[in-house]
Amino acid sequence: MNTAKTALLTHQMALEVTGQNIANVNNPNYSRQELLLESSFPIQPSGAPGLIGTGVRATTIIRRFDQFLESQRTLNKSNTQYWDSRQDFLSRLEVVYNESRENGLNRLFDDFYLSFQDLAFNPNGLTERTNVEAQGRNVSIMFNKLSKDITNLRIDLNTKIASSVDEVNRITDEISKLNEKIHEVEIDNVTANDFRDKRESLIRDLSAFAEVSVVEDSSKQVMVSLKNGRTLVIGQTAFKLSTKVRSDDAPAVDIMWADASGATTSITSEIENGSLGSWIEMRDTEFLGYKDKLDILAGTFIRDVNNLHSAGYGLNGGTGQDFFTANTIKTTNGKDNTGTGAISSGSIVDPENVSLHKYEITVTASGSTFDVKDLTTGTTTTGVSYTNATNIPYFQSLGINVQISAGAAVGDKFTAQAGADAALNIKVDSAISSDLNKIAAGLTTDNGDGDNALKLSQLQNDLKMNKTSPSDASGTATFSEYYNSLVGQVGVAGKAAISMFNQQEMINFELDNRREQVSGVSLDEEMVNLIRFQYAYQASAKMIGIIDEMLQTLIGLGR
Amino acid sequence: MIRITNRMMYNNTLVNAFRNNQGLLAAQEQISSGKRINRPSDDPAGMMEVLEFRSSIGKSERYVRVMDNAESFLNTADSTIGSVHDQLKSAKEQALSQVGGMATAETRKTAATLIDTMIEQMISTGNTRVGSRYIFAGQRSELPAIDSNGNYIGSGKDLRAEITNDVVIPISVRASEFLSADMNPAVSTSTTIASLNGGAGAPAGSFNITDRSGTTGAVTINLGDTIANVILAVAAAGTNITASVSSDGTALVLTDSTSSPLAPITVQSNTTSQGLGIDGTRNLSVFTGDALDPDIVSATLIADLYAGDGVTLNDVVLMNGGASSTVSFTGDTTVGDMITSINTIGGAMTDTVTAAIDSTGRKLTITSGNANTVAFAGEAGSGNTAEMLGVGGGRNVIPILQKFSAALKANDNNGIWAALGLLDTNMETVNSVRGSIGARANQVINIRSSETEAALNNTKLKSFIEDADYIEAASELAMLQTAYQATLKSSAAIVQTSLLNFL
Repeated sequence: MNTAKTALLTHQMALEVTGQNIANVNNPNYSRQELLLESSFPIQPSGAPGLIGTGVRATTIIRRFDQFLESQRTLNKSNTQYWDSRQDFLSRLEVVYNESRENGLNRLFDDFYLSFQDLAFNPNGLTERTNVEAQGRNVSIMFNKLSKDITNLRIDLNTKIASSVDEVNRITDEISKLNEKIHEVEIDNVTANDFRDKRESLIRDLSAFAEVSVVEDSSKQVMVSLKNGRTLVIGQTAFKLSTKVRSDDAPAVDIMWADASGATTSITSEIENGSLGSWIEMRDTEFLGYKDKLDILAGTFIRDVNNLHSAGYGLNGGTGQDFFTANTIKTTNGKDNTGTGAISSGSIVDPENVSLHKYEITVTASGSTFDVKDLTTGTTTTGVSYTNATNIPYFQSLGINVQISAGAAVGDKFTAQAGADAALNIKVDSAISSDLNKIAAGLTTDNGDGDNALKLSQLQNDLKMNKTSPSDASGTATFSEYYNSLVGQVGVAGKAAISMFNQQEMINFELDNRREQVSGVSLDEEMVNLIRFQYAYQASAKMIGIIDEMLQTLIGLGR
Repeated sequence: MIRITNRMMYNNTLVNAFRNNQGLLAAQEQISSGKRINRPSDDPAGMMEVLEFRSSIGKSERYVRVMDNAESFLNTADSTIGSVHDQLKSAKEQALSQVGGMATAETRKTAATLIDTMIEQMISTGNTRVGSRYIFAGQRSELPAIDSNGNYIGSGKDLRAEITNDVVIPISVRASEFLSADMNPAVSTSTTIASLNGGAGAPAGSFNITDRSGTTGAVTINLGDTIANVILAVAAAGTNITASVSSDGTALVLTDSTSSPLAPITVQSNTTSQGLGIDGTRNLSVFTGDALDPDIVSATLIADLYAGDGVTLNDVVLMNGGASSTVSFTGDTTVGDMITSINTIGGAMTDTVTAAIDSTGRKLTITSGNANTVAFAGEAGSGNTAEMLGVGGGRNVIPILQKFSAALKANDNNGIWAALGLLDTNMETVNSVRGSIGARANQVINIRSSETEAALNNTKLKSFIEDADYIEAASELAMLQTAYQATLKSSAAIVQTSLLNFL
C-alpha cells in the first residue's frame, strides 16, 4: 500500500512540475525543471525471498541549465547592445552628414567659390556682390547647423547615460536581494530554481549596459563586477552609482561610484562594452572628434578666407576687412583641478597664422613648467616653461596670448583652443552684410580689378588642410576634400556598426537556440510527460483499489 | 537527438520574416529614390567618389559659364577692331586722293573734316562697353579708355578671367595696343613720388606706422623724394617694418618681421600715406599697398617702361616739311635723355621737331616748329622704338589720324605723304591685334568644348556609381517578395502543428 501511495504522491508531484513547465512555455528566462525519481530504499521483511522495493521517491527538482552557455549569452548581450547603440546613433549622425541629396555643405562650398568667380568677372556688379554675401551666409548657416546637430546628438547620448544609472542601480539592488534569498533557500541543499532563473535574467539585463564578470562563491551568492574589477554587487551589498556634471564640458556627466564610506570616484572610463560603454565612447571620443574636426575645418576656412580678403580693396578703397567674423579662442580649467590657478580667457594675436589645434596643458611644476599635448595631432611637448600671470611664450609662437595665474597645483589641467566652436559661430562679418561695397574684389582700388576675387575663388583648389604648421605653403587636402573625408569616415563607421550589429544578432540567435535546446520547454515533450505520469497515476490508483479490495476480502473473512 | 522547442520555431519564423523585410525595404528605397547610395554608410567609398565627381562637374559648368562671358567680350572686341581697320582703309584712300596734284587746299580741308569725324568714331570705338564695362580700358573698366583728346587713360593691366584650372587669360585687349600708346612705367626705386597717381603725386608729409609688436615710428617724406627715399624713411621709423617695391612693379609692400605679433600693422591715414597707397590696418605680416600708377617724367628709367619690359632703342627717323633726320638713342637711360636726343637732332632740322611728354603723362609727342608743317616720326629700320614712344605709327592710330588731319588743314603735302606711309603700319598693327584676339577666342572655344565633354564624362561616371540600376532593383524586389511569401507560408504550416492537435 505504501508503495502505491508513494507512487501516487510522487506522480502527482511530477504532474505539478510538468504543469509548471507548460505554464512557463513562453517565459524566455525560464529553465525547464525535471523531477528526478529514484526508487525508495528496499526492505527485507522476514520470510521474504529477497529485497522488496518500497516504491518511488523524488530526490530533487533540477533545472536543465548550461552555465557555460549562459556566460556566453551574457557576454554576447553586452556586445550586441554595444553595436546596437552604435548603429542607432551613427545612423542619426549620418542624417546630419547626408550628402546624397545635393544640398549639403559640399554643394555650398562649390557655390561659395563660384560666387567669387562671378565677382572676379564683374567686380563692380551689385548682383555679384549680393550673391557673394548670400553664399557666405549659406555656408555659415550650414556649418552652424552641422555643429548644433552633432552637439544635440551628444546631449542625447548624455541623457541616455544619465538616465541609465537609475536602471543599473535598480538591477544591482535586486541582484543583491536575490543573493540573500538564494543563499537562505540553498542552505538546506535545495536548489532555488526560479530565483536562480530570475538572477540570471537580471545579470543579463545588467550586461546589456556594460560588460560584467560574474563569480558565484560557496555561499551561492554572486559577485558582479565591471571588466576592470570594479565591484557592483558583492553578497547582499549593491554599490550605488550616481551622476556628476563635468565642469569643463557641461552638461556631460561622469558616472560616480560610491564606496562603503560614501566617497565617490568617477568610473566613466571604466565602463566597457554594452550600451553604456558605447554611449560613453561615442559621447566623449567619437562624436567629440567629429565636432572638433568640423571646427578645425571651419576655423581654417575662416582664417584663410580672411587672410586673402583683408589684403584686398573694396569698392570704396577700404582694406583690411575680414569676410567672416574672426576666430575666437576658448580656454577651460580642468574639472578635477585642485589648485587655485586659472587660465585666462586668452586672445588671438596672429589671426594670419594662428594654430587652430586643441591644446591640453598639464602642470608639472607650479608657476614654472608644464607638459602640453596637442589633442589634434596627439603629440606631446614636455618641459615647457611659463611664469605666473604672464603671456606664455610657447603659445605666443602659435599666435595666441594666454596666461595661467598663480596657485596651479601639479597635475592641474587646462585647455586652450583657438577657433573652438568655429563651426557653431561662423558668420559673415556684419560690416560686409551691411555694406556690400566692402567686399574686397580687387588687389588695387581700380573698380574693374577682380584679382582678389579670383584668388578667393581659387581657394577651391588650394591644399589648405592638414598643414603641419600654419605657415606651411600647403597641406594635403582642400577644404572640400577634408569635408568629404569626414563624410566618408562617418559612412565607414556606420557601415561597420551595421554589419557588426547584424553579425552579433545572428550569434545571439544561435545562442538563444542552443539555450532553448537545453533549457527550453517543448510542448510536445510535456504532453508526452503528462500522459506518461497520468497513466502512472491511474495505474497506482488502480493498485490502491485492488489492495483495498484485497483488504476488504481479508476483513470480510473475520466475520 | 537535438531538442527543438516551440520558442525556437517561433523565433525562427520571426527572424526570417524580418530579414526578408529588410531586404524588401532596401530594394524599395533604391527604386523610389533612384539612387544606389542613399546614405554614406550604403557605400562610403562610393559616396566620396560621387562627391568628387559632383565638384568636378560643378567646376566644369562654371568654367563654361565664364567662357561664355569671355567669348562675348572677345567677339565684341573683334568686331569693333574690325571696324577700326575699315576706317583706316578709308583714311588711307583719303590720303591717296589728297596727296599729289589733284588735291587743293579746299579738298584737303573737306577731307580733314572727314578725318576728324573718323577720330571721333575711333574714340567712341575705344570706349566700347559690354554691359557697364569699358572693355578696352584694362582693369579700370568703370571709366572710359580714351579721353576726349584721344589719349589712353585706362589701366596698364588687362582684364582677365580664369577659364579653366589655373589658366587665366586676358579676355580683351587694351586700347593702348591699337589706338594710342601707353608707356606704362613700372614703379622702381627711382620713381619720384611726384609722378605717382597719374601725376597727382604724393604730398610731402609725415605719418606714423605701427608694427605688429606695437612699436610706432614716424615716416617723413620730402618733396622730390623717390621711392628709394621712401624705403629709407620707413626703415628710419625704427619699427620691424621694411618697405619694398612689389614684384609686379605696381605698388609698395610693407613687410613686418615681428615674430610674436600682438596687434595688426597700422599705417596712419593722411594724404601722404594715401598717396603712397599704404594707409590702413591689416592683421597680416605682409601688406601690399594700392597701385601707384606713376606718370612718365623725365627721370623715368627706360628700363621701367611697359611694366618693366623696357623699350629697345633702335633708331628713329624724324620727318618734317620734306626733310628727315635719324635719331640714335645709344647710351640713353631715362626718358629725359631720349627727349634730349630727339630735340638735339630735331632742333637742327630746317623745320624743327620738338619732343615732350604729353599732357596725360603716358607717352611722348613731337611738334613742328613751323606752323605750316606737321612733324612725323617713323622707324629707321625694323625696330619699333618710335611706336613705343607714342610718336610713331603702329599702335598710335589716333595720334596719326590727328596729325593727318592737321597736315590736311595746313595743306602740308609732305605731311600727307608721311601720314600715308604710317597709316600702313597702323593697319598692320590693327590686323595683328585682331589676329591675337582671334587666337584667344579659338583657345576659349577649344577649352570650352573640352570642359563640356569633361562634365559629360564625369556625369556618366558619377551616375554609374550613384544611380540605382532599375532593372536589377526591380528583379531583386520581385525575388524577395517571392521569398517572403514562401517563408510566411511554410512558417504558418510548421508553427501550427503540435501534438495537441492529435490528442
